[in-house]
Amino acid sequence: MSTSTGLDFIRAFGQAAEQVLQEVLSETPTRGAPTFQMGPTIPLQEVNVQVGITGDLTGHVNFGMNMYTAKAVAGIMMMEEVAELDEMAISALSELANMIAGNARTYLNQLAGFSDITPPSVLMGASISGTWAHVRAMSIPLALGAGTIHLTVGIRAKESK
Amino acid sequence: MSIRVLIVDDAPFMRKNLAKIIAEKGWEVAGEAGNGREAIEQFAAVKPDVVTMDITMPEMDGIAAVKAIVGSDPSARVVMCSAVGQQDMIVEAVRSGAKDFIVKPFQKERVIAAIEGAMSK
Repeated sequence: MSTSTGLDFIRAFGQAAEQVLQEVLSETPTRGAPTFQMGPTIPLQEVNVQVGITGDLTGHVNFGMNMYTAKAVAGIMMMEEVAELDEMAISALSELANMIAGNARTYLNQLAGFSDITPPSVLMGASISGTWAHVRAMSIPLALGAGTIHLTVGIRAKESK
Repeated sequence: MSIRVLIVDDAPFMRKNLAKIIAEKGWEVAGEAGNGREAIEQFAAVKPDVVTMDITMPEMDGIAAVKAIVGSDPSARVVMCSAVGQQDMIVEAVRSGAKDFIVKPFQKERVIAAIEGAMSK
């Protein structure tokens, strides 16, 4: 059974996010301090891209940001101004989350055996909340010129609850 | 020489990016598919020279699709295109008959080299 902790998992995603954001946006984010979520409720933003983790590890990862940041990040990826978060812009943000999660998977597999990622899903809304059962989530802010991406990771080894 | 490419990816953004690279090179997008099942149908319908195939997709993933496509046509040229960190899956796909793989995020030159390389194999 894995002895890796939530801090190990969020570090893996933080490291992956830095690498992918540097390559895709040509900017390395400034990583803030991690914070523990005290209950099952997780912090959601206006735009949230979620990826599931399955295999020896199980859980969720959320990339949350406000609408301004979402449009700005999608715009850089699409190399055009994004006035509305349409299907193509949402697809760009989803692909960004997919690339970060895929990159993090390398570290997760080194930490705790085989894991896989599910295709991203997107949640949007001005006042939304969510809960993740059976995992204790941690968050770190990733500050970019376009705003902050709030990375929240709730992963546990499958054997334990 | 114009190369006809079938693009398979569940993300419209990635399909658009790949289509742009292919068009700028003067090649043709023979078709697009959003999952493995559609890829198999499109492959049979449009008979592309090369397929670019994502791995993680809903309904049917890219590994199952490459097995089915190469199983039905051993001369099929499939280039896997997936996020870094999925090397184990890429190895499985290559064992199943894929000619090469491209790691996302990718550079335009890498995409062109992989497609040209697949054509020469």
